Amino acid sequence: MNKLYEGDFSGINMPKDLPILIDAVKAGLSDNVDLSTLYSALATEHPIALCELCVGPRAMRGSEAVKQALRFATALEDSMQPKALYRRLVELSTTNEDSPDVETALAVLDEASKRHPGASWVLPLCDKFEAIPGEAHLTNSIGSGSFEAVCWAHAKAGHMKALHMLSSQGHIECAAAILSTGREDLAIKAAGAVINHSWEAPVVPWFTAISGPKADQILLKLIPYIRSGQAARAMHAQSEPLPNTYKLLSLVLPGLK
Amino acid sequence: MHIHKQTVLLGSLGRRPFSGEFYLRIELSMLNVEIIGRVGASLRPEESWEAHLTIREALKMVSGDTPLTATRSVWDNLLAIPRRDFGPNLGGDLSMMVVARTGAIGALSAIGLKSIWSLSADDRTDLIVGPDMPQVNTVGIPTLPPKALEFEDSDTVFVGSVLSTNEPSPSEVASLIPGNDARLLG
Repeated sequence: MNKLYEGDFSGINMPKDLPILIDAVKAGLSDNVDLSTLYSALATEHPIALCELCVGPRAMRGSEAVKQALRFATALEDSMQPKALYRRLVELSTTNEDSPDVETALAVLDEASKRHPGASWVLPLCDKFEAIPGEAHLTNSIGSGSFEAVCWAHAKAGHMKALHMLSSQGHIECAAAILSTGREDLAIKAAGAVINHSWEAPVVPWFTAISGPKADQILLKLIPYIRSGQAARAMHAQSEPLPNTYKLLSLVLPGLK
Repeated sequence: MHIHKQTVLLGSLGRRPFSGEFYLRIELSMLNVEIIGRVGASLRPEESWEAHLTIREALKMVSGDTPLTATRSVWDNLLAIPRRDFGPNLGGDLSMMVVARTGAIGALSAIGLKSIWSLSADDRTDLIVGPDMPQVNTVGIPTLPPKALEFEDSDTVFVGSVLSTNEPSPSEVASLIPGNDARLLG
């Protein structure tokens, strides 16, 4: 076996001998050789060479090469700005520059959004490759400090389907982000999905924080979407400062189980 | 009867411009008292909402038979709230303006505002509190009730600004008073 695969660089002079390294890796990838040891050794001893190998002008193209590179994203980010790194990896994800392999591009997007949940540069990648643009980025940013900002960014980009999908999992930030764009009807449907998933969801505080005095009229339209008495009672308890919403909920509550 | 909102707060910019804002109107026989404020704006909305509900509940006890006594009662009731009930910031981020009116006279007092403007019925806009009044400018629950300013003009709209001393534009104010018959948030 090639000693390079074991991370032995004796007799190799970097960066001059980079072509030798590239040839070895190409051969290794085509023979399904485990290149982890080589990449790890490069990350430690020759990080610039690793960067050249994975994303440089002579970097290898194709799904396997990109997936291998993604395993060393931490090391690559030490040598390259994340935005440029992940865009380059998308470019390299197929041998045909015009149409990157979608599965590999999605793997790049997934890694990028996991490692940088608050990054806005992820958004164009979502538009380009995801069946439901924003789904991966939004999902990966749940629980991060930037989740709210990410929701707003995707709302601004028009990724309403992904936002609605996450609303159905109880994330009020997603419905609120839709409301912030002025798409009241969509926001109401999303809020309905939130409250029907999580009856205690703070829909009233969030919608009021965004729309202020107008929230009372907006939330009136949410009431027909409420399916459980528990959710209606929770919203009723929150809505005393909103006279119209409070009054209508008081009227419909007895009819809800 | 149409009840017109006559007290407006110009609050935050950003993703949640009304976060932590509250408005309450209390009718006391011949008096009406408007209270507008902001608490916990930097918190999550559900947290600031809890603080706001606490304030509303306490202010239901307001009494008084003149604008000055009603205004004083607002602050007394506010100061009686345990600090922990204002949420994680313990009320250190509270801004609030109180306007009590009866007939043609009224009283105004405030904390945590950079400026207060009066908009009269003849469209005149005057700065009545600027950034040189620490008692009004200082954010957070005061140790004592702030002093009140008496005024004579029942139609005046008061506009408090949390952030700036810029003269409010009529459209900006109008956007916060949607519909002349709306009784907003209270």
